[in-house]
Amino acid sequence: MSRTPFPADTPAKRVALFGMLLALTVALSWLERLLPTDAVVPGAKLGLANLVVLCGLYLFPLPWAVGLTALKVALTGLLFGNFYSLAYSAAGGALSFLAMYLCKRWGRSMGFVSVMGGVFHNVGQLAVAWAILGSMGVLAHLPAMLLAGVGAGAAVGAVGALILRRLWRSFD
Amino acid sequence: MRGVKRLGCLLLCAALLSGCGTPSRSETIFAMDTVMDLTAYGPHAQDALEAATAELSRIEALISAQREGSDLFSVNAAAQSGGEAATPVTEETAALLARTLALCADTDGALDVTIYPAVEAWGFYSGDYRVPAASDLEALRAQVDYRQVAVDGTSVVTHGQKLDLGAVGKGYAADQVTALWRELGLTSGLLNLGGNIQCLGAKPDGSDWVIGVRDPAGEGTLCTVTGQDMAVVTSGAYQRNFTQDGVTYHHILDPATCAPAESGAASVTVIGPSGLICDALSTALFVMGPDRASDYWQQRQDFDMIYYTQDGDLFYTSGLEGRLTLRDGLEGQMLTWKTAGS
Amino acid sequence: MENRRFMTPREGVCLVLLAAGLALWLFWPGRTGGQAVLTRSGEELGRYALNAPQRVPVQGANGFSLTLVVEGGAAHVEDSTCPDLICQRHAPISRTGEAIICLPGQVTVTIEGGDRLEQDALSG
Repeated sequence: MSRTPFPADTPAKRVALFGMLLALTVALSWLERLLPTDAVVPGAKLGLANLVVLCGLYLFPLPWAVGLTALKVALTGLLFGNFYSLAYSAAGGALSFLAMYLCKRWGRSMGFVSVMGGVFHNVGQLAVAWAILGSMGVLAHLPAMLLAGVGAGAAVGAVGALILRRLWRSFD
Repeated sequence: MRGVKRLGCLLLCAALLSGCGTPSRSETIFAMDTVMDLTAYGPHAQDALEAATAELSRIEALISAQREGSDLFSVNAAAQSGGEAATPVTEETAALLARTLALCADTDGALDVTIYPAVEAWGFYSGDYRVPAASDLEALRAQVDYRQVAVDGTSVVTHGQKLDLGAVGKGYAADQVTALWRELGLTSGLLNLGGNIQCLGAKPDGSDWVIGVRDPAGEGTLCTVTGQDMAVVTSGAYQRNFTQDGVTYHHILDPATCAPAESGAASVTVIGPSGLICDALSTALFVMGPDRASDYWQQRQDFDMIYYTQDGDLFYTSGLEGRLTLRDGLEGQMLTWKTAGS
Repeated sequence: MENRRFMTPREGVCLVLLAAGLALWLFWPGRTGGQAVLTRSGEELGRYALNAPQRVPVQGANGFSLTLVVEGGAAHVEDSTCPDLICQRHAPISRTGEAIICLPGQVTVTIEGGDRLEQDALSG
């Protein structure tokens, strides 16, 4: 079971941590836009910023984690995207957060949680694309995008685990 | 472990190399009023293509009725005067015409080389399409009769008839090109002469060629046939037609009526070793209709056919068993040889 | 206390199977399609046979446009004015079910099976 206690014990530390993660998410989103991941799978993004959502899940209780994710989506959408990219990342972010939260609640390990996050992030994006385009062609991109989600989720999970271990050690 | 690794590398190389092994050359030319795709495999591929291109031009210049100076053009010019005319032609043209006349006789006139004036009247040569009046058709019917034409040595004797070898030209050309390729030592090649397919040997990797039959209704494939060293020729109403006052008239004329054949056929595909025979028969069998065609096949049994009717029924001959793949949802009926007395 | 492990062996196997399944789905040899179906915002604009080479100018949503090119038995996108050009970078598609999507222009090109039959040449 997972009731996430605040490893950061003072309010000041919590807010600082929150702010730091938020800043990190903006930086990662910016970095991601520089990388040409589109070449391999059209429209697939590495999902580096998901790292922050993952950390949020393990460092904060649910309300804060949700807040972090929502702010991430809003900030990156406003700074780097347009209406459509906002819709896609909102759907992707919401679905991936839900999946990750449930997996964590059901006792799955970090790596698994992260992979599910990556996979469902892309499911969400494709679902929005399907709703807007109404074309079966979206289905064609499902295997490639999901596979990319698995890969990205695993990578993010590995990095996340390293970061979280360090943070936990410093807090405990 | 190292031994296994080496073996793996070796196998991988072998696999890769076998794929990119045989060099191939392709060429697309425009001849006989249509687009022709030629593909040759092997070390002599380039020579083969050049030879093929030259041969196709030569044959067109020889037997195209529209080409001034061709043998056929001369024969038809002589026919203008009506009455008996004997026109000298090359040995090759004489031989081709003799074979074609034999096929006309064998198909009981379903194929008729003297169909020229009828095709001309409907405007299929000029592109100026028109529907001839009933009286015109009657007059044309008198002019269309292959029995009035004979080949005497290297002379063509006509009695006012004009000839068109369009129904066999491409098939004949395909036979000539494949013969040429064999002489050059080629063992694998593919010809697509405006829809007339001819395969030389097998595919470079030794497997059968897979040839599709166009669906008369749309852009897809009706079925595919596998084989080696074979010609696949299809005649269909959809190939050339025009519409006037809501009625569609196609280019496969029935010599008996001098009007588009209404035999119930939508497309007929003939498969066999000779392009000339397949070309001739695809036209003749279309005109005959499914029943007569089936009887004809019973008699000859030296070719295979796929008969697709306007009602959507598909018949195919027993020689194609195991070689035919039908489109999803399409059912076919196999014709078998009836033994005497059944 | 929450699970702070990275991954259990069981979970690992699960994920590997998932990835393998997806890979299989992705690389499963498809059937050659017969036509490219063009849609904009969910509405079908036209169907184009893959064996008839042509260039089709398409006006997408939000002012973006592109050209659908049918060539060599496959379809691809050129001259796209959309911001990310993902549609243009997609390799030509020819198998049933494959698709190229332009999200900003809301244009999709999907291959539908006319054929389903692989062949070396087409008679007729």
